[in-house]
Order: sequence, then C-alpha cells, then structure tokens
Amino acid sequence: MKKIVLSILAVTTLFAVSCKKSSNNSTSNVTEQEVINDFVNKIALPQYQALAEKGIALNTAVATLNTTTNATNLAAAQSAWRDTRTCWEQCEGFLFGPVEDDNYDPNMDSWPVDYHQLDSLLASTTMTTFTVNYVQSLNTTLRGFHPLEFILWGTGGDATADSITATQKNYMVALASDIQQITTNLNNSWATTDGDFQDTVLKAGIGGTRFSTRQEVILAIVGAMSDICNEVGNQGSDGKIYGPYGSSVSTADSNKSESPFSHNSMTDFKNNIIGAQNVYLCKYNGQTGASLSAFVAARNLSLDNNIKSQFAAAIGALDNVSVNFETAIYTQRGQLLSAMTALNTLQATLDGDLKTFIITYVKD
Amino acid sequence: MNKKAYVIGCTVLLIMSCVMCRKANNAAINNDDNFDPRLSGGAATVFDISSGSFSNPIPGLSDWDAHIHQLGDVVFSQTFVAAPAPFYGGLGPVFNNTACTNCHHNDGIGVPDFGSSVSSLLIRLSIPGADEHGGPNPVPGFGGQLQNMALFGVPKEADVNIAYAEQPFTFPDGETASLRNPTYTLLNSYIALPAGVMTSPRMGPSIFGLGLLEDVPEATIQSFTDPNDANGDGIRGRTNYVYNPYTKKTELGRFGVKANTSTLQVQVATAFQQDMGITSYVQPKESVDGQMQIKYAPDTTNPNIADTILNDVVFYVRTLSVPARRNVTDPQVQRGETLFTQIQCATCHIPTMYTGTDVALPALSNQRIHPYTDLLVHDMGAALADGRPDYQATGNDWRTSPLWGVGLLEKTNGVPYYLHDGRARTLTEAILWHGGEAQNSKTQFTKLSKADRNAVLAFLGSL
Repeated sequence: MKKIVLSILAVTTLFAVSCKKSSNNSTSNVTEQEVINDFVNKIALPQYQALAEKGIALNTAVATLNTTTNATNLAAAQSAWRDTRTCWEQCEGFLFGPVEDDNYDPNMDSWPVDYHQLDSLLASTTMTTFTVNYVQSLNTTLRGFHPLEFILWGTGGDATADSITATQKNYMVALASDIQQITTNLNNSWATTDGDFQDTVLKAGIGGTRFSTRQEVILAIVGAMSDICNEVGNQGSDGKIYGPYGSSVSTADSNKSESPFSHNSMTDFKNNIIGAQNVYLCKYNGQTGASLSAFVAARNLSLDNNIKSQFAAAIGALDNVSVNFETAIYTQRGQLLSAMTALNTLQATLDGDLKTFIITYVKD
Repeated sequence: MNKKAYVIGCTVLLIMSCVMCRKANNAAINNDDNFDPRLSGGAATVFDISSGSFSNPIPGLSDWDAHIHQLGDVVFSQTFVAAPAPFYGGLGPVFNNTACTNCHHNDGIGVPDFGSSVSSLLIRLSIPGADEHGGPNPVPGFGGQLQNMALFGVPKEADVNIAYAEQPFTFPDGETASLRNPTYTLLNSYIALPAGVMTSPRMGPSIFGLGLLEDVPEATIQSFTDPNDANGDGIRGRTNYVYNPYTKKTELGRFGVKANTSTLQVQVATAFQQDMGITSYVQPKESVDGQMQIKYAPDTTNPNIADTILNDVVFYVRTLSVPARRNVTDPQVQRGETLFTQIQCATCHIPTMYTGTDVALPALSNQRIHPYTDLLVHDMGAALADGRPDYQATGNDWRTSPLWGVGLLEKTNGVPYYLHDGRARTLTEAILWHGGEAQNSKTQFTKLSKADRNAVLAFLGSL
C-alpha cells in the first residue's frame, strides 16, 4: 500500500513537472515547412555557395604560389587552405544529399594520406605534368585537402617556399584545381540550374519521392547533425578524436589524425560541431531564419534548452584543449576525454529525444 | 460423474486439442495474415528509411558482438593504402578500388563506371575450359578478374571503356521506354589479351541481409529447383555448386550474381584479394600471382591483413539487418503484390522462406524472411547474357537477385542502378531486360495497364 501511495505521489509530481514544462514553452509559431525552407535558404545554399568561393580562392592562391614561390604566397595559400577547411567542416554539419550520394566527401577529405605512394609520386622523375584528370583517377587518399596540406606544410610543419619541389608544385596545382571542381560541383548539385537538390528537400511531403514526408527530411537533417557529433566524438576506432587518441597514451598515434601537417585538427572538430549548431539554430554568416530550435522550443522548451546547452558544452570542451590535437593526444588526454563525453551526451540527445520529438510533432 | 467416462472424455479432448493444435499451427504458419508483412528479415529487421537504412546491425547483438560489428564497420569504411604503412597497408599492386565502401555505398550498390575512386564496376575474365575445380579458366597474365587500377609506377592490367547504345521499347499501350545496352571494351592491356577471352561485368551489390541468406537451409534452396521444368511453368531454377578454396570442398553457391560463392567468408576474402589486392588467411595469394606485377608486392609470404580483421569484416557483413517494408496497407501496393504473383515474378523472386538454426546469432535463427529470391540460377536470355560460364552457371545464367530493400536505393544511393552491371536506370528498365525463363513474366508485365504496371512498381518500391 505504501508503494501505491508513493507511486501516486510520483505520478502526480511528474504530471506537475510536465505541466510546468509545457506552460513555459515559447510562443513561436514556426512551422515545419518554414524550418525546411530556411534550412535550404539560410544554411545549405549560402554555405555551399561560400564553399565554392573558398575553393576558387584556394585554387587561385595555389596557382599564385606556383608562379611566384615565396614565403608570402606560401602563407597566403596556407591561409586559403584553412579558410576552405573552415567552411567545409561546417558544411559537414549537414552531410546528406549529393555530398553523400555522389562521394564529394571522400573525394576531397580522406585521411590519413597514402604516405608510401605520396613519396613515390613526389620522388618520381617521370611525373613532370599532373593534370586534374590524373589526380581524379588517384585513390581518395592521394587527392583532396590532405595531400595538398602535406605539400603546403610538410610532414613536420617545416615546409618553406624554398623546400617545395617542382614536382610538388605540379601536384599541388592539380590538387587545388580538383578541390575547386569538387566544391563547385557540390554547390551546383543544390542549384536550381543544375542538380536542384534544393527542390528535392523543399518538396518533401509534397510530391517528392526521395523524401516522401516532411518528417523524413527533418529526420535526415537531425540524423546528419547526430552523425557528425558521432563521427567526432564516438569512442571507437573510427572516432575522429578517439582513433588517434587510442585506448592509452602508448597506443595514441598522431599519424591517424585528420589534419596532422597543419595542426588544424582541433579547428576541424570544432567547426564540425559549429556546423551542426548552425543547422539547429538556423544561423549562418549573420543571417538567421526559422529554426529547428524555435520549432522545438514552442513545444518542449526543456528539450530545446538541453540541446542548446549541450552544444555549448561540447564546443566549450573542445575549446579547453589548449595545444594542437597531435600533441593533446599525448598531453591533454583528460580534456579530450571530456570533449568526447560532452559530444556523446549531445549526440545521444539528438539521436534520442530530438528524433522522438520530430516523430511526435512532425506528422506529414 | 462416472470416473471412467471422465477419463476417456479428457483423453479424447486432449487428443483432439493436440490434433487441432497441429492443424492450426500448420495453417497459421502458411497464412501471411498472421505475420507482420513489414518484417522482411524477421527479427533481423530494422525500421529505418534514412540513407543509412542498410547500415544497421541486427537487433539484440551482445555487447561483444556489437563491438566486433563496429570494428568490421571501421575496416569496411577505411581506404587501404600501399605497404609499408602504419595501418591499412597492403593495397595492390593492382586493384579495382581502395575501400569496401567505395563500391558498396552506404552498404548499398555502387556506381556503374570505371576508372575513378568510387567506380564500382569490375570485369571477370576467363578463357574457354575450366580450372581444376570446374570453375572459370583464368586468363594467363590476368587471372580471373581484370584489375584496372594500380599503385603508382605499377602497370595496371588494362582499362575498360563502356559505350551505351539506347534501345527504344514501346509498350502495347503506346508508352515508351529506352534501354541502354552496354558494350565493354578492354583497352591498353599491359600484355596482349589472348583471343577468345570471355568477360563478365559486375557492379558492387547491396550487402545487408546476407547473414540470413547464408542461414537458409540447403534443403530449402534445393526444394526450389526444377531443372527439367517438371511442373511445366517454363522456369528451370538450378543450383550452382562451387569450390570453396578455404574448406577445399564443393559447396552450394549462394552469393555473387552467378551464385559462384558459397560462404560470406570466401566472398569477403575474395573481394579483399581480387578487388583491392589484399591477401588474408582465406585467400593468401596475391591477385597478381604468376604475373610480372608480383615484384611490386613487398611481402608475398604473410597475409596483408590480420585474421581478426578479415573475421571482423565477415561478421560485419553477416550482421547487417534488413530494412522493414513501408506502405504495406496501401491498396496500390497490395494490388501490385497480387500482380507480382499473378504474372509469376514470385516464381523465382520467392517471397517467403525460413532460415535454419543459428546458435550464435538468435536474430538470424529460424526467422521467417522475405528476400524475394530462390538463390538459384536461371537462363535470363541472350540480351542479358555475359557468355561466360561460372561453374554450372552458363553464359546465359544469372542468380535471382534478392529484391528486399530495392525500394530504398534512391535513399541510400541517390541515383540507383539495377541489374548485375547497373545498366538499368529504373525498375521498369530492369524488368524489361528480363528474358529467357523470365520472358513470359516480362511480356505479361508489358501487357498490364499503366495503372497496374504502376501498382507493381509501387509494390517493389515498398520492399
């Protein structure tokens, strides 16, 4: 009997708490269609447009370095590489559609590089001309960002304008040109004048076959946010952090890290999560729109607050690592573990509560 | 009450109830209405319609098994590189691709072309005759598969060019379609190819649900055969018994588009060896064994990957679940399902069967599954024929392709392609390519009204 009374008390308390939550929900009247529209117009289109522009700028900077190989132009090319990475890693916060279907991702962002073949390629006396077509016929680990990073920084970050060989210059020009083509094609794949994937997303639930309901496309958006948190934070051997971090300091290996030559890995990780956060908040480059956050807040303020604070906690935890990633896996393992834990918490909420919320509230 | 009568009465009741139970069970098990039609893989079914719908582990794995599945997943996704390398070395010297996932995108199909990092077609080769086990006779200097990629500085075996010719097709009701008929040409071979070399193109297939197919009892598959067409329906399903290089025995072929591989272990190990040039304890020889490219293999005595790595990937493939069906109560889908049976598609694409006992993996064990295949080979007509025998499968034969998940390929792959070499761009085109034993079903499909054809397609879309 005592148990029953306790149970009734517990149920009453729960009920009261639940009521309290809903009474505090925001009064936003953002609709699911507006969330989809603004995901396309405020997030995906402008970011892919920016990525294509960064790809062009990178190609130009590398061409300039090739023509006039000096310290200033090397620094400019390195800077253009980092700028393109920032944009690309943020775009990975919504990695679904053509970027996934048409393999733009592995074609420009596979690591670790194939060191042995890279050495053979660069030591070759027969490879005097690299064409884009040739680079595009190579393995994914010999094209894209990371072989270019290898040339621009060198294995120990010790590349100088003088140390870049003629073969390396030929190769880097073709690599940058390939990256420009990939980022341009990716942008075009969403454009109305080309692949028009935006139409596929916008027409979800109104005649589209790829996404037969709005619920499906919003779940794809949430799935992509969850996936990138998992890719960075999961504590398995394919985790971006955990792979190089290993199960102990003796198994840690910086050769496995994402951007080891430029030491850009921590920035890459943080931009991945910022990219997912931008999707949730529908916020990019000073523009805002009808967000998933507002849609959630109107129905479950507590969930929205949780997600926002967990994003902040994950990004904050990544910020707590004060040295480059390739050093941190040996010297700041505690901070990296905290970051992975924060990402796991966020990912579990996105994959659990947020997906359940979408299934509950988006019915068509 | 008379005690004797009571005992007799109880006994009679007991016997009756036992008999009734038996009858009721038999009827129940044959009645689709008693089962949820969405559960294509039985307990190994997962409800997911995202681009990752082929990538879920079977439910109920133990923590350890889930860990092994995850390890296999990592290797499956990893790009292999040239040796010596700190990890994932051993690629080549010649290969078709560098990562499993490049040809099995999202554990689904690949892209039907050659020459890029994500190209998913390959060409099997042989010359007339058979090898010592009755399999295809390898081509001297090339082996049984053409590797059209190579490490830097290594001569690849050849390039392949595809030319498609569009072939118009008109349905009896006037609707038109166009079939693209491929011609494959081998170019720039590093040594001359012998005259009379036979080729067979293959595109990377979906890889989920294979643990269930491996568990279908051999007797069940045998029960589907009708090599002499005893029932007069024009369908002559045959088994393909093939050599297993690991057990060194002849076994029932289940996997591959000609049912030329008996186990997932050999399937995965041979893909590592032939597609990526990576040796293992199951396939320890380099793909270039006996060829001049062997000198570019830094270590031909030890397997390129540890035994556990191969086992992890085999386990990963064995434990990928089947996506659940959608829209099963939609009247158009139900109409399509009825027509699918009426026009005899279901004679080879058999909807329902049971797996045998699998003590290691309960979700695969004794499951009622709906793969839509008989796992047998059939003469599919001259238009689809590769003209290259593979054990008992003739140059006209192809294995009935499982249809589960076919409706999700647009989600997992963006643009889907169908049939063994991806020549069909739509399910309608795939149906129109059917000939030989399937000619009658194809003709009946073309004679259906537009609405009924759409119903068949809606049904396929629900799988």
